[in-house]
Amino acid sequence: MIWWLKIRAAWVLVGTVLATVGLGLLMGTAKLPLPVLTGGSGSFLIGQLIPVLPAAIFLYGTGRTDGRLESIAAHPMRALDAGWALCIAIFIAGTAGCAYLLARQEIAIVIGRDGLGYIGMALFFAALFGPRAAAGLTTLVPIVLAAIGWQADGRPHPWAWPLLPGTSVLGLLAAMSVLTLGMCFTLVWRAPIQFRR
Amino acid sequence: MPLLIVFVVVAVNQDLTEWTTPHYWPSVMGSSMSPLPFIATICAGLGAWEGARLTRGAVFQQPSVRGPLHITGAVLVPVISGGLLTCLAGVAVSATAAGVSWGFPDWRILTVEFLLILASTLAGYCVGRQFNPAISVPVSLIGAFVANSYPRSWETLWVRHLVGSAFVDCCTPSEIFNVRAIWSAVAFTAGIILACAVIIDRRATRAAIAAGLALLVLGTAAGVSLARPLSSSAVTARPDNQLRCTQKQDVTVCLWPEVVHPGAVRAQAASIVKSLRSAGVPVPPELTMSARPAHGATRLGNFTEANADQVRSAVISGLMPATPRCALHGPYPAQVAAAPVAAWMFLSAGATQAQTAAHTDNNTTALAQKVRTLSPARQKAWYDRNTAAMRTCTGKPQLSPEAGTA
Repeated sequence: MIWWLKIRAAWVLVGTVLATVGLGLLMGTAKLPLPVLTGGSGSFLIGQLIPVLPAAIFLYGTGRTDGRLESIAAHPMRALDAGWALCIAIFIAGTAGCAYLLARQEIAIVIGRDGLGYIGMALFFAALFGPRAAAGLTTLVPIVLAAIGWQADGRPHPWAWPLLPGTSVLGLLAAMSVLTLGMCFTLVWRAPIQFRR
Repeated sequence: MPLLIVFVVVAVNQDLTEWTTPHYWPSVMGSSMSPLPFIATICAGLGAWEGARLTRGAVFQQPSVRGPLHITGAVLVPVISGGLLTCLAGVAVSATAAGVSWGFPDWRILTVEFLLILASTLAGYCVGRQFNPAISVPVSLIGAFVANSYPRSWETLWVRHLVGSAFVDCCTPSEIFNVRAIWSAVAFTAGIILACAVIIDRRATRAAIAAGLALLVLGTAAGVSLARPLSSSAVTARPDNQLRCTQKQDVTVCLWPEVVHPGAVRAQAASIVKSLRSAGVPVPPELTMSARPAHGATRLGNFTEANADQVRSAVISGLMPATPRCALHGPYPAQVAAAPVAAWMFLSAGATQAQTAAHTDNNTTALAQKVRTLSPARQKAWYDRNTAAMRTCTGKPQLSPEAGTA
């Protein structure tokens, strides 16, 4: 199990989560001015983009294994990976929650929620396309949503969950369902073998 | 890449088309740069992906006939040309929206777009060569996205010129691109491109990395020194020698060549000037669209298409007395006179009551109409009295038509 954690870059991942939350508190509310689909331009924050980083490191850790070898392992590798993702998601939520209690900034909730959801997205894409492509695809989610996820009055569409304000219950529920969906996909779906090497 | 073109044409369509000045090419080019942060971001991500593929395939560990730069170029050509095609699609969309006459897009702006795309792609590629794609692709995407879009909202105003993100706000017809801003973006991106090229060509040896860093610092320094004196906008006043002036009756009207139906605009301006002069308003002998009207000339708006009412409003706003400087930080009692004086000028210039009310409001229009019923000499006295008050910070306007009779 120590090897298993080592190859999944556990400490790097823990460090990334802490760094992401810290960075988010420092400069997360900086706005990125963007061209958007509808006239009212929304405010896309750095804090909505950088929670992708833990998901990327997660994919790096799970993706650098030999997929063929792990597919015949004695341990239930896919269940372990899904469990590992859940642990990291809980860790992100806990860190962001502590940050919110300490700093009282809404952006902490946004970072925690989006980090949770992006882990789910990462699991989903990794199950479909393999971990390497999944990292890029997961990062494209907030970038594309930043362009098309706004209503005419500058508020985000309800389906653009990473853009919703931290107080939104809908956003939190959406992120959790994305995480659940991703874990289910990890358990039942197999990426084609050429993506897993 | 085809997906990206569809994205530009559909998703950012409104941004490409909403703020263009009709029939004015620089404005087309400016607006066409609005999707550039997205294009550069995608190119950086794809560059990182390609770089990681080459590293995974151990291409550079094997002996090869072609140099590293050659191999890199072959891999990145589809990415860069795709990005450039997307830029051209953006130009096409905003050109259609502006309805410009047939012409070649401004090659300087196209060059800036190309260099920004090239710099993003190469920087992404270098990151991709170094790290696992699961890390390098997200990092390049996030880095390029932040670098290309964030400086525009920064409080340090000149930083945005390094990544050319101020051109989006260009232009009204009396403005052109500031060459300084263009050179600043060119210098900064050239620094990045050359640094990446050296590092790729010399296989990331220590000397190559040092040389690359030196080039990067050099390019950034040049870009910064060019951009420092600039404010937030990347435009300057358009040279006056492009104006087309003709004299009609006793007024000279100078228009930009992009103005639609110039003959009609000139005729309308001349007749408005004639009726204003007969009402006693002193009008200088020249109406010009220049951003900096010379002495003895007055500003004639900043438009490319206008109907008679808009021309009238442009002439009158140019004739209104300038607000004195002391009014910026002090009391300005004559503020209230601006609307009635403007309304009186509208009516004198032949506007109907409804047209005048659309520019001001009903009460002001009623007041101005009452003034219009006075004798010409008393109207002139009313106008002179109130405009004199508007030129100072102490003068009190006397707007009532009955005032000054006693």
